[in-house]
Amino acid sequence: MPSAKAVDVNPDELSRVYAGLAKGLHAIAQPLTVLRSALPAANEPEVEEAARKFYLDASTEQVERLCALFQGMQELLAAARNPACCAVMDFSKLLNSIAEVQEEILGASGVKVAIAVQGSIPAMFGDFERALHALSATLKIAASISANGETVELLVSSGIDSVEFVVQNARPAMKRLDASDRLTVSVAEANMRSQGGTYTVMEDPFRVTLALPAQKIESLQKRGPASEYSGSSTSLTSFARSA
Amino acid sequence: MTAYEQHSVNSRSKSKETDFQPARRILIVEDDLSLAGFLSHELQAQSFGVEVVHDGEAALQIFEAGRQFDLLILDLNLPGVDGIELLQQVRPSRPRLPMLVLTARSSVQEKVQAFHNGADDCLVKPFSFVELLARVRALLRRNSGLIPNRSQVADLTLHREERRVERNGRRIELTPREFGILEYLMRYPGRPVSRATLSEEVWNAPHDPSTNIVDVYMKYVRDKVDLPGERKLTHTVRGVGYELRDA
Repeated sequence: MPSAKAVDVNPDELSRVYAGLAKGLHAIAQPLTVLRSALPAANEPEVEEAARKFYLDASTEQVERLCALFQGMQELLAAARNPACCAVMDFSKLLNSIAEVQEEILGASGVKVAIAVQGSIPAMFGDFERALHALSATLKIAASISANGETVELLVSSGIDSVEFVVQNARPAMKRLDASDRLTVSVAEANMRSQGGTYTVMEDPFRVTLALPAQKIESLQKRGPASEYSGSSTSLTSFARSA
Repeated sequence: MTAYEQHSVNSRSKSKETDFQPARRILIVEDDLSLAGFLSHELQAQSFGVEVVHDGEAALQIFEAGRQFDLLILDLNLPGVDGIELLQQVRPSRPRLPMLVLTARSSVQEKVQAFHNGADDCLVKPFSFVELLARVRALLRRNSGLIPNRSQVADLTLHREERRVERNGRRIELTPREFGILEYLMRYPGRPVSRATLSEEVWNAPHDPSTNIVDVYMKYVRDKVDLPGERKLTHTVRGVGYELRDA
């Protein structure tokens, strides 16, 4: 007889996952409502060709939304259930990867991402893929609620025991996060927390702080040499190309 | 442009005056752009006049501006001012406005809270548009007793369902827009009605002060209703608009 496997997740994390899944289910109800009406309408025998195309296009859009939401819920569960692969992270590699996201955002929505590295950044300990996922998702959300031509800032600085990434657009009264944005936020948060990091959201003005633990010197010595990145400027620059 | 927006543009460009009927006006407050667009498109296809806003603050501004609607469709889970708060703020000043609430949560408690705060009906997502339409029609029917089928001002009589107008036994032939103007004025005899209200109610469009289309159509109505030698029933109210009254 099959038995349920207990998942080793603490109650706080579990309630976060439930809350994230609830957001996902809420978001899924919207495209399902459209699909539930558009598909039968497309199948009506008397429907005109233009109207049939409209209903099918509408259905296709909603299926894409559903797939993205479904993927988001899967990622949320994966972040909560699967242990993070933590290691000393190469900061410059992370920034180079963000540069690709930067270009993608500019091409898709005309929103610029200005990156500023403040002071020297110590080595970080975390899961590279999850950190990149959380940062990318947060930048994309910030871009999606910004207007064309605006700039989203990514500020990187070091704290006492952590490295902080702040994603912000200081303009007040931006477009609000919708249900699928909130699911994405939950996934990003789960990705950060699963590697010992934190994720704090402020919505108006939009400001998200992602923090990862800085690698302690003694740990670094045990693991071998780790690089330290020294930012050259505190001003907002398009850093990526020089990184 | 989404599929909804494109299709709506195409549909609108094909509309002719002969298709016109005074539309029942519906305000949709829904933050999901796709769903709001789809509902708006489908309701317009059913000859309703539809306006869409995506948050509670925008809806409040519309009501505070005194805009009139025949029905409100309201999503409960809105950013900022949420659906329950909106119900609480709007219901006292609009006791007769039918309000249909949409929610993605099926908890009894949430539905009870909505009803407690003035909702007339509640639909849980994902719903079928056919069901939404049935409920919209039922709510409007329930409320339609407020506007009788027959209105009379002096010897002028208007039958809404038959779309027939008579004055002292004389049949008056009106175009759809002329009928729309007269029908609205006869709802409020003795009360001035602004050009902006007529524009919204009859053309289903915001008033454009740079055009005199309302005045032009009002003149057509006047010429047909008040023949030489008859008592004047249509009156211009300077700086406001028009009024229908017996002398």
